[in-house]
Amino acid sequence: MSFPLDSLLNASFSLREVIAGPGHAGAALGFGLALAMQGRAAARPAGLLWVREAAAVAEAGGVYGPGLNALGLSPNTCIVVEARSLIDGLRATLEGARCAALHAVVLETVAPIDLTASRRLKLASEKSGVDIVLIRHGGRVTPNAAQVRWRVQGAPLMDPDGRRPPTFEAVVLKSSSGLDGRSCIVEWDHERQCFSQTVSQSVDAVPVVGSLAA
Amino acid sequence: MPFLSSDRWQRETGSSTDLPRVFVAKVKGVSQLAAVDARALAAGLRTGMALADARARLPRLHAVAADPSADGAFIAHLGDLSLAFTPSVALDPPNGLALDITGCSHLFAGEAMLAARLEKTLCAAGVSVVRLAVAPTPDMARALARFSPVNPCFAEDDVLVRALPVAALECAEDDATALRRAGLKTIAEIADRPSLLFTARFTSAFTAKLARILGEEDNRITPRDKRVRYRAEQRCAEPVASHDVIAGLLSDLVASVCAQLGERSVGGRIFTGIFMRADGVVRRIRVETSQPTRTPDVILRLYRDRLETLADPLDPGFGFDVICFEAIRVEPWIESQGTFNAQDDQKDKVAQLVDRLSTMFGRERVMRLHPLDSHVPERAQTMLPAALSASSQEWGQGALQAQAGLRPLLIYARPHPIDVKSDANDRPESVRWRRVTHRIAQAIGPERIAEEWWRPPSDYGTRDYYRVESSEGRRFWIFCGASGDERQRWFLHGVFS
Repeated sequence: MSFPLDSLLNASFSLREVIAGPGHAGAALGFGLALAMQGRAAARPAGLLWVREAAAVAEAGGVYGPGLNALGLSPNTCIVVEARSLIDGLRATLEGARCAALHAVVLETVAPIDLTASRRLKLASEKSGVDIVLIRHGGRVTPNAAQVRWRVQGAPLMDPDGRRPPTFEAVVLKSSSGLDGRSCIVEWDHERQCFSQTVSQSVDAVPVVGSLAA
Repeated sequence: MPFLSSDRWQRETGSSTDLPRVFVAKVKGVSQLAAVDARALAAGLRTGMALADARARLPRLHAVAADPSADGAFIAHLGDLSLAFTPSVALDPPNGLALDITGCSHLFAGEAMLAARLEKTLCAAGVSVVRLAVAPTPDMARALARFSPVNPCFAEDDVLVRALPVAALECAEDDATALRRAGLKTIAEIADRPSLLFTARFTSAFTAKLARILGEEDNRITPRDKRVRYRAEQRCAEPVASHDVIAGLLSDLVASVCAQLGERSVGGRIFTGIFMRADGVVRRIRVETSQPTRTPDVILRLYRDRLETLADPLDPGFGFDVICFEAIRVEPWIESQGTFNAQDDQKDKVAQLVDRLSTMFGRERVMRLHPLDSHVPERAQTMLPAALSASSQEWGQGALQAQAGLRPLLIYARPHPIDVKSDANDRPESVRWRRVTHRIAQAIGPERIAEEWWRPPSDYGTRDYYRVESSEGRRFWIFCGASGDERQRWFLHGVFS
C-alpha cells in the first residue's frame, strides 16, 4: 500500500543524504544502507562500496558482518574502504561512482560535504547509474547537491520477541517534490527490499490510514 | 674497489676515527684479516694476515667483524647504480663489478668518458677508491684493474697485461710458488714460452686462464638480472624534468612492454617503473594488480593514481636520464572472448576498482568481510584486504538468517565500559554511555556466550548479552561480564540499526 513518502523512500536517486539524530548512528547507517539497496536490479547483484571516514569509524564502531543481514545485505557483496581523511573518502566514492558494475556507494562521514564535491558525485552517479548515499553522524545541515535529505533516528519497537525488523523515524529535510517537513515511521522489509509503513504521521492534519505491519 | 668494506662501514656508521681499520674473520679457528682500509694498507697490513701479527705491527688498531652479507648488499646497490651505464652488470667478488660495455661506450662519448662518469657515480655512492680497467675480455680487465699500476687503464691488446706480475693470474699458492722458483716473474715471460709446458706441469685450467687473460680466448660475464625479459627502457640524451614528457615516455614504455607480454600470451601482475636521476638517485615505483593484465590503459591509470598519492613525490630534480619499465611478475593469461555472461564482466570491473582503490590508499584500507568459525562475537569475522581475497562464499545463508536481528550492525573492537543500573531481577534499567544516560524501555536477553576455553582467558569472562532499546529508540548490545572476582561489569559492545 503506498503512502505519501513512498515515492521518496522506495525509489532510486542519484545522490541522497542521511543525517543521524544525536546518538542515533546505528539507525542512520541502517537507514542509509537500506536506501542504497533500493531498486537493486538483477543486472547488478554484486557490489556495494562502503567508504568510511576514519572519524566515523572511531565514532560508530566497526562493521559487523553477521549484523548486516538483518537488513538483507549479504556481507560478501560489500567492499569496505577506510579512508584516512575526508578527501580520501571523497576520492574513493568518486572512483566507485564511476564503476558501472557497482550497485551503490555509501559514504559515511562526520564532517559535512560541500556543494562542489557533492555536485561532482552527483554528475558521476548520473553518468554511470550508481546511486550514492551520504551518511553523516550528527551536525548541522549544510547545503549540498543531494536530491533528498533525511534526518533519521531509531523508533521504539516495543517488541518482546525481538523479531520485528528495524524501524526508523525519518523526517524529510529536503526533497524535490515539496514533501519537506513530513515525517514517518517506517520499517525495512528485507525480504522484499523495500520500506513499508508502520504508522504514518504528517505535519498537516490530513489523516492517513496506515497499515500496521503484520 | 679495494677498500669496499671500509667504505661500506663508513657509509653505514658515518664514524671516523684516526685509527686504521681492519675487518676480521675467523678462518680455520684463526682470526685473520679479511679486509683492510687505506691507512692499514699504508702501514703494511695485508689481507690474510693473522690478527695477532697485525696487532704486533700496529698496536692501535680498530678491528671490526667482517660482514660479508652487508658487503654483498652494498655491492649489489652499486651494481644497480651501474645499470645506468649498461644492462649487463655482474658482481665480481669479493669487491668488484664487471660491466660489459660492448656497444655502450658511444652513448657516453667514448670509453674514457664512460669510465669517468662511472667513477663519479660510484664515488658519489660512498666508495673511496675505484680502480678501473677497460679491456677486450673480462679476465684481462679484472687482472688489469687489480694489479696494474695505471688507473684507469684502457687496454686494446695484451701489451699492458704482459707487464703484470704473475700474481695477476690468481692461481693457487703452490702454483705461484712453483712459478716463482722457476724464476718467472711477469706474465710476459710465461706467455713467451710454449704453453704445452705449463699444461703438463699445471693443469689445462691454468693455460685456459692464461689465454683468457691474454685476450686469446673470450668468455662472457653472466649479468645479474637474467630473468627479466619484459622490459623497455628509454635513455634520454638530455635529462627530462617536465612531467608531460615523462608521462609520454612512460606510456610509450608501457605500450612496448605490453606488446612483449602479448607475444608470449602472459599478463603482468607486478610492474615496476625505474626512474634514474641525473645525480644518481634511483626511484622505483611499483604497482600490483589482482589479475594479470596487459592493457596499457589499465596500467597507466594505476600509475597515475599511485603517483598522485605518493607520500614522497617523484621529484625529477635536474631531470631523469633513464626511465625503465619492467613487468616483474607475469602469469599466463589468454585474452578470452567477451562472454555473454555479464557477471564475469562485472567481476572484472569490480576487481579493477579494487585495484585502483588499493593503489590509491594502500591494500590494508580496502577490505572484504570474511567469516570465521567462532562463537565469540568479536572473532566471528575478520576483514582481509580485498585485493588478496576473492569475495567469500562462506557466509552461509541458513546460519545467518537464523541470526537476523540478533547481532548488531556495528561493533566496537574494544567494548566500552558503561554504567548500568539494574532492577530487582538484574535486568538493566538505565545505561550511561558517553556521558548520556538512557532509560531502557525493553531488554531482551540474556544470551550467554562463554569464552573459548582453549584460549587464554579474556578480560570479560563469561558474558550475558542483552539487546536493549532505550525509550528514544536507540538499540544497543550490552553485556555483563564476570571474570574472576564476583563484581559484575557492564560493557557496550555494539549498536543495532
